Amino acid sequence: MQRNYVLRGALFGCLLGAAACYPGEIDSAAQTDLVVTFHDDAADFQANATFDMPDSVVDIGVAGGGSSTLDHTYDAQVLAKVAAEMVAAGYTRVVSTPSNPADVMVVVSAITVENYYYYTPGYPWYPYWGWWGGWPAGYGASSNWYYPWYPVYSTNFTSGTIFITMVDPDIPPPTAGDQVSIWSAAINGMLEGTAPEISSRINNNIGQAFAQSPYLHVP
Amino acid sequence: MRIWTFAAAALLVPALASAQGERSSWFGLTWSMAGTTGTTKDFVSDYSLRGIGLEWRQLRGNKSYGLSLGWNAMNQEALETSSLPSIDLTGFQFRYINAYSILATGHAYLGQSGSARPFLGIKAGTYYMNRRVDVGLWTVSDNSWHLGVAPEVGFVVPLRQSYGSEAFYTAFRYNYAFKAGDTPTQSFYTIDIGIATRR
Repeated sequence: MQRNYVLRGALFGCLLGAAACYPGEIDSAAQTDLVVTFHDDAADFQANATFDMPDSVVDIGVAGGGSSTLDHTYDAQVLAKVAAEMVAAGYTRVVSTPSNPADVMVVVSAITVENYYYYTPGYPWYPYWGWWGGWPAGYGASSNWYYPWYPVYSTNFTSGTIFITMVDPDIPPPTAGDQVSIWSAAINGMLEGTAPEISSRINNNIGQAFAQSPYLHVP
Repeated sequence: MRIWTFAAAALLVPALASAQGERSSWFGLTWSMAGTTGTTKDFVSDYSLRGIGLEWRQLRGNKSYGLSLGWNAMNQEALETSSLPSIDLTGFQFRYINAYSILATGHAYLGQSGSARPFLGIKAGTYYMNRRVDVGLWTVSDNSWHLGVAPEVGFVVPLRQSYGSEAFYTAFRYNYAFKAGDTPTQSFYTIDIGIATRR
């Protein structure tokens, strides 16, 4: 009898040890944020000193001819932060005219996407308990799992992306009428959280886009 | 790779061929902890407490051969900037490695039966490696099968006589999975603590 206790205790201890530490997962909307920057290796950023930018955020959904759920609450903050980062990088903001064009144009655009997921609450335990050998014959790690006493939940969240694009009008485009981007940033994440949290994330992520692009700095 | 193959063969074959004496089977269950080395450490560097091992050994005298199954889950999270040509990317990265092993084993035991005994062993077989990176709202993953070897040292301590033929045992193992396709060599060490029953 003692022998069974030893074996059962060891089995339970090992399973507990394996299952106790659930691996790290996203636990805040801020952890979904992604800042990606692209640049043209051939561009001479040091040759530019002035910039101009429109005073509105382009809604890509509408511009593309579709509907949009883009919330314009933060447009002014986004535009102000981008302009401030450009100035901090050494550029001077000007009003571009045909006779006196700015060296680069900075355009800000955005899009939102609705995402839907369906899940059952017990699902995350599947990889662990599937290892247990005590299931009746015919069950195991490859079995489908159902929890009839739980409802199937659905959840949705809105993700959004802000694009910051720097265009150099002096570079001839490959196709007439197009513009050549020498630098662009895409800031992607979940549009969830309180207003102060979203506001803070906007500032942090726009700042990060410029921080990870030191080649933008001009004398 | 050739050196490791010869080493595995040199230790496994004698264990299979020359083991003589009283025969008995050993079934072991271990809690397996892991730490990464080499290129695997570049991917996940945190020490992991999540893992489990199952083992069967056929004992003959002071040697044994058998089969070992293992699973080790390693993960790491960090806010990082990764750079590629013309591209820089910043975000929280959640990196995971699930390493599954199916290994043939050979062991040699020192000391006397019935007392605490150190052992040396070599394991060889296959590793299935699942690597995954969650960054932002995106996931990238790959899966690969590797051939590999794992030298091992450990000791076994019989439990009190009243518990019959159960024994506590622990082992340190260095797992080396050879390069497979585009996936580089994977290596990690494990510290196993468990219990074995002998029949």
